[in-house]
Amino acid sequence: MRIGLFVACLTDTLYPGTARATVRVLERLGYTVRFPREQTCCGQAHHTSGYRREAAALAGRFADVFAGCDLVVTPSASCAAMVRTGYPHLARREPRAGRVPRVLELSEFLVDVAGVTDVGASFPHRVTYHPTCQSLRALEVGDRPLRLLRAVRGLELAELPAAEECCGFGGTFAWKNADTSVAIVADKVRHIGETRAEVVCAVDDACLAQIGGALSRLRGGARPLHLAEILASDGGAGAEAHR
Amino acid sequence: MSGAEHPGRARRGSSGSGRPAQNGPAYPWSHLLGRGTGERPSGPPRFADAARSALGDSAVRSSRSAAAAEQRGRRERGRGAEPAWEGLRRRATAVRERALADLERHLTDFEKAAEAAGTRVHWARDAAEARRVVARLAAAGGEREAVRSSSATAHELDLDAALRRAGVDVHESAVADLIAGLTGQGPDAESRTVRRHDRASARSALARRLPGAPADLAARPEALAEAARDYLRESLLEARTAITGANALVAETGSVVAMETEGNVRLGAAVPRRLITVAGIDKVVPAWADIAVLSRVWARSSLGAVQAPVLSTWSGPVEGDGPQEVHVVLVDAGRTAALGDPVGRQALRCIRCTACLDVCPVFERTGAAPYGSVHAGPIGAALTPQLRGTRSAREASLPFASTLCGACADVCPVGVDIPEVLLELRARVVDERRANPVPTPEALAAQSGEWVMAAERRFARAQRAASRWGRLLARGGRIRRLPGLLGRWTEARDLPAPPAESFRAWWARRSRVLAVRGGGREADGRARRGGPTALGGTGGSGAGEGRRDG
Amino acid sequence: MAEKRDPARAGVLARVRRAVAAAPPGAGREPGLGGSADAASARGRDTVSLFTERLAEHGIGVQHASGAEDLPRVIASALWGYGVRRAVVPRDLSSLWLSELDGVWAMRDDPPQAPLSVRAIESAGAAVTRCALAVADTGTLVLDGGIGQGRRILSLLPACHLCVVEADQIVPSMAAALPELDPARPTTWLTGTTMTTAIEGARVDGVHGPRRIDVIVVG
Repeated sequence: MRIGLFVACLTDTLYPGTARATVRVLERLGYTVRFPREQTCCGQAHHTSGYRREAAALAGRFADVFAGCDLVVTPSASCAAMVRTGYPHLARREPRAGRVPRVLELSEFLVDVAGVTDVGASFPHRVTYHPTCQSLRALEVGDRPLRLLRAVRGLELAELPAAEECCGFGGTFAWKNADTSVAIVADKVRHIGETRAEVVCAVDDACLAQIGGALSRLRGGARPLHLAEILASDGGAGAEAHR
Repeated sequence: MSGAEHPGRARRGSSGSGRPAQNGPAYPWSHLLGRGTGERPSGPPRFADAARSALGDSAVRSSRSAAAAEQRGRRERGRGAEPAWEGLRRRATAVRERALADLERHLTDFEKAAEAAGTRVHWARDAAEARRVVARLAAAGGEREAVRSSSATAHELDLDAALRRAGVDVHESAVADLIAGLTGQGPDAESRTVRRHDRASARSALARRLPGAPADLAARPEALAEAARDYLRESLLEARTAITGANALVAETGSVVAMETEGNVRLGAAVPRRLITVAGIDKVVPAWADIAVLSRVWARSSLGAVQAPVLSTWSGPVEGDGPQEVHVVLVDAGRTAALGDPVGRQALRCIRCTACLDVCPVFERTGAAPYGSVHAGPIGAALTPQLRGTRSAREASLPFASTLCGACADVCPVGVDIPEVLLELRARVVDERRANPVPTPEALAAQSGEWVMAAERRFARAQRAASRWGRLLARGGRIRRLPGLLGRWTEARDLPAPPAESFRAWWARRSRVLAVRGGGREADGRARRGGPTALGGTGGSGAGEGRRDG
Repeated sequence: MAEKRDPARAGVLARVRRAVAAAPPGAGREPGLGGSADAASARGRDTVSLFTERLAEHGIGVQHASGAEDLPRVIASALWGYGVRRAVVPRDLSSLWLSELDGVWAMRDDPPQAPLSVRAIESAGAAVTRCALAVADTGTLVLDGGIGQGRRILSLLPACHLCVVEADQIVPSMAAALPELDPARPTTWLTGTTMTTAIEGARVDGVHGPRRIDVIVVG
């Protein structure tokens, strides 16, 4: 099985640790992944901003870049959702968008394809989990990320109040309706504070950028981490070194 | 950067781009470094601008938030109590789809059946025509007063103003609307959903302004509701003309269907001599039997209850019982524009249960006012631009007033995929504005963004430039202020300083190391099992190598 | 017909036609036929006991009369319980039902020949009626102005509504009730009492319509 790794442009640029951690987890489980270097962007930002022509071109490109893969794994739930639920709408405009391999979000790959929930990670911290809207509603990943987290040694899972409410990111919404976006994330930050967790975890760096940006500005106690980073952790002191 | 890299020039003449040549740098974000033109279009404010002031009132926000949470709970319990909610929802969706699929026949069937039962059916192409028709009907015979029950359609068409101009005084017949009127609040979706009146302001409004209210009125909900009720009942019993909306019109039988909690529609349809129902043409359902599924999903989604406390149907005057003059006004007012859109038309399935409002993170913060219409919340954002068009800045901003979180679609009892409609409308707004002589900074950023993303080497170069630039802006590992339009992010959020090495740069470096070690066999984008540790592994020894804020 | 030449009517219908042609409906997700969901909870249940249970959930009092001979006494005791002096009844309510009223004056409403005034109906303490049907699954009373029900305001204005339901009038679901009704008649479906939450979301029962509804199930 040829497994392609798709790394969101945001992750690639701002949060490369997420992608490195994804590679580490997959390789630890014995999977070889390829990273087609020609990849750039899935076109999600264009699509959700109304730039369909541009989104369709990028979707076609995505299909070409990953044509040699049987399966694509990505640590970005919203990109996976874009390919799975957005591309079919673009296929009328760009037929190549209708011919993409199956794209799975990391937790889906681990639980459904690899068939594991215990990936051998150790992370002795109190963690709360924010289910991102695209993972929850478009991909329907369900409790897969939670099952993976529960199997992490030393990890103490704290339930997030109003977990299923959006973080207020919404792509360009965060700029176009910045005030509303911030009002929404302020409540998310408050709920995270109520858990007294050290770490808030999610499966999308875009939502984590929103939550993390607000936590940083509002001096919330928790730090944001992608699920992949927790699953890649072996509990070493390095976990703290960078923060 | 070289001329060949320039989006304006590089793409000139390519498929329909028509984009203007630019002289500035071609990186997508460079278009967003200015503040835009700073021009505010005339006319009603855009959603974001209107929302800013709504967000300012924290007391209103917290009471709205508490109300929304309570409503969500009630409706969730309601749906949970249905043994087969999904099946019910599919049937309700099918009823609404069938109605719209053959709307012409259903409308003419309704007209025929209603007229056979003695109802007079009237038609209106737009809001102005509807106002003329209703004002004429209400004022006929020199009538000077009418009672009106809550009706989104009546508010949408601004019937009250037209009635007043025609010399007809309109009295609200629902408790929340009465108090809203007395306290000088306009009618909007909140009065029937999220906003409630606090007891102090309700008491002062009722005690001071309501004729016949006792001066020592107690500020208890029961006492206040009773004072309002006594007044409303008198007004309903004295009325000679009642105006109502409709939850559904039954094509097969010519029946009007109205569901309510207070009984004011029941009273209004049973006492006055003249009854005028105003309804959008989208309200029609094919068959009498369809009421079962429709009323059930409406009650669950609107109230959480198994049925509304009162459901009334009528098809015409009945001798010796209630109104002797029964009218129905069928109104288009933009509905056919929505009907002609293959994606947007699903918004016409809406049965006005308002379930989507209470689960919407945006509506919960902003309330109804910024939507600029009685149709507020997610469905308002999906419906209003279709009814009114997207030429004005306010209507064009509505499809963007959503995080696309999808909570609305999850609860919609008639399967309206609101995010899908919003995406369609966003594309429509963007395409309409592509023809503008001066493209917006956002349009330029989107176009050059696509051009950059269309080639990996351009992307990698832009990424390196962005990262260098971002590190220059950062202090202590975080960016606290971005310039221009990008700065909307940093008004209240930080951004981490971009790390020196992107993932793709790291991968390329690792692949080179692997190629050297493995004799080149694992080169070209494939990592060997286990991964090399020489590069510090793939994630360091612990989580958290990426420098996120927090 | 004049309406057929109405330019507004023609205009709306022409637009509808064009719109549907421009966006022809998809394959039309037709639901599977199967049983109706709203009858699901009623299936396999004794409708009388389900109905009684639902009424109780809605805060509606339920009394049982074993048969026609028992009914006048149950009606009388319910009215005594209300403490009312006057009750309004429709023209065609069986006199036998009212044969044991002692101290309560039953006023008959007989429109259009001999209607009670709106004020007379309003000031009566109670209304006694039959119903057209009752729905077990939802605990709903259905009135359609048929025999023993009177005109709409009769059961709407008095403070209490005493409704007599015969056991064989109880159908399992709303879907089962609709075909039994004549759509030409005005129908009123009552599920619990009316209420408002306009003030601080606090539920206040009984806005328009009786504050108290009681049901007597016969048989």
